[in-house]
Amino acid sequence: MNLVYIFSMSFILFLIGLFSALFFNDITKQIISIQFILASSLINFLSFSQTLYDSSTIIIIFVLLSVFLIILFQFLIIIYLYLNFTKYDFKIVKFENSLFYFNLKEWMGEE
Amino acid sequence: MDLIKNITSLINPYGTFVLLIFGIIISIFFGISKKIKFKNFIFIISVILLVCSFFINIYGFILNKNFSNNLFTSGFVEVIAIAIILFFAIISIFEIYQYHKNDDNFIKIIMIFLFLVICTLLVIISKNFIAFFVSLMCFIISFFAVITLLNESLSLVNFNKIVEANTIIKDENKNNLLKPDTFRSILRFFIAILFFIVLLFFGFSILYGVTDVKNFLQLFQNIEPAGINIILSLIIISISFYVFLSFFPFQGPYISFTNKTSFSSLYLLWLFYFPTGIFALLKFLPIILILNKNEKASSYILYVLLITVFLSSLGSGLGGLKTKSLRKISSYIFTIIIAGHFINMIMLISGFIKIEQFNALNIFYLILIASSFLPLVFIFISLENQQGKDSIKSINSLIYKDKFIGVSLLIFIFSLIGLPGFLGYIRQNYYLNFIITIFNNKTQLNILNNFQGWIILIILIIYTAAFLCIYLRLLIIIFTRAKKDDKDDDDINIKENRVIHYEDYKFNKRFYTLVGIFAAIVIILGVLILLEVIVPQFNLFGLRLTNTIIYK
Repeated sequence: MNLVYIFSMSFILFLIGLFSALFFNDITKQIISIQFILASSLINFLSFSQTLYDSSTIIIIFVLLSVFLIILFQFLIIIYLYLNFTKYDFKIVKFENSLFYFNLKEWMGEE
Repeated sequence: MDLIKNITSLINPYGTFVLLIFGIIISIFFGISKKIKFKNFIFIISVILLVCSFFINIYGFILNKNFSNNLFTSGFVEVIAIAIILFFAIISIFEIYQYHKNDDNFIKIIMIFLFLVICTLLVIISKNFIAFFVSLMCFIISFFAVITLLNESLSLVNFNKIVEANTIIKDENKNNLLKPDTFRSILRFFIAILFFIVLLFFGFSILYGVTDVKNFLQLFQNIEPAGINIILSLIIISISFYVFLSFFPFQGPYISFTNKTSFSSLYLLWLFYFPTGIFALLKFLPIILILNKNEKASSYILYVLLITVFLSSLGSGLGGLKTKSLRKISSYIFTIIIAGHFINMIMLISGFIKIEQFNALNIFYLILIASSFLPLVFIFISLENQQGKDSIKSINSLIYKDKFIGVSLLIFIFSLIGLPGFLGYIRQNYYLNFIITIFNNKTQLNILNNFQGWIILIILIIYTAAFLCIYLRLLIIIFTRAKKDDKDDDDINIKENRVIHYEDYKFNKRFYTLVGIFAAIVIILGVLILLEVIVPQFNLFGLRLTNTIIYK
């Protein structure tokens, strides 16, 4: 398969992840969107490693360690979320707005 | 003897890490203990180990000079950076002890905090991509762990326990009492960091595809043949750091976080999170320096840096002017200080300073944070802690109510503004020289045209004005006399069920001493720097503080 196609596909995945992470205000949807970006990075690393640099060992170690730590961090966030998820606030998995909402009040420092 | 020689050859940089790991191992034995004796013991041991690591770090460098292997590199700049981070660690551990010594998790907090310090130091000395990314991820994970532990009492779990027990809390007072929003703010802030780390990983993947580099020093050799293909990875890495440093318009999670979390979390945020971000960002400097050789790429980088400074200073300046919260004002001030690193980069790529002076200036910014910003925050947090409310009214007519603290606050504000005679003057002196050089001696610089010179001038004015506006507002409030009969100025502290009178101040002697020491340091160093600038032959026992910094 051509490297250009692979890169285009991974870049589309990246864009989907980027826009959905910025668009959704649901925490689980945001984390899933971030997975898209992670998947696209993995596709990039593996495809470049296979086609351009003869699957170098160092980069495989780098990818394995990094992905392990990123997924560990995601799990920690999810565990923290569900430890605080109780019957008193059912909407807790949702923020009031998206991750970065460009609201005048917010950057003025008002609540 | 050979064994001892081998060990001494490893002191720099591993001696520091060995001491800190020793502290973690000791605290493991007492991890679940809730006795105050053990807590005090672990605290004292940790402080001693941090102080020892501070000296071992410097001694190791004197003994062994530079160090480099496949994963790490440590030179003079790294040693100074590590020393400042260890100083920050000592300050933070005292703050953690002050506010959390009665927590059940105190020893666990100290243990993870020491791990956090180790990870920060590893980020500073990392050379290889694997070492860099793994240490950065470990830093973020340990930062998350410490922050969640420090804010446990403010979390929703405890809040609901209290609600279930039908205690005195009423629904309308929820926000004022236990701040259940803390949980949401922390969550939002760390999802933003997760977003940063994944973007950075994606940027790395493209960088790898374009250049096949595995460490930062190789960037100098491998990037040049890659040419313009590098731009996409550079854009993504820049955006990721822009998110990480919470510049406008991405500052929402950061401001929300600073507004809701505990005091000690603020110290960790400002003394560890942001400096680590800056050190991580500076690892990519070779890319900028290589691209700087190309005229077109150089001008694009210049514009990107200028836009960054413009947005961050304008957004933070306006935000700092509008808000009534001291925490938010401190947050905005800090963002503007951090934006100063980008001005340093502008000076570097325009050829005004060399890489040695650039490194010295970055270190100077950390010293400015330690000497001027940190005591400012001490005072603000102490006022908030006493009155139970975060309001700018706390500093109203402070100069008349408590002259010592009021004058010290003025000294720190003047230093941050950069008035002559105070420590922060070096920075303003630099900007002034930079502007003069742009218009009078342009041939020395790589600046392409007059238009860029004017843009730099305008951005520097906006940057300084943003700074000045916030500080002038603080100065006016400090000097304004409060009306004694004005009952509208009183707020209600719901937690302690009392009316807050913004005239009650009780600082203890230790606090006065601490603030006094910082104020003395700012003035003494400021006067020395001023003398050195005015009298070129001036030196103190053969030492000139500005030798590495002032452009010649």
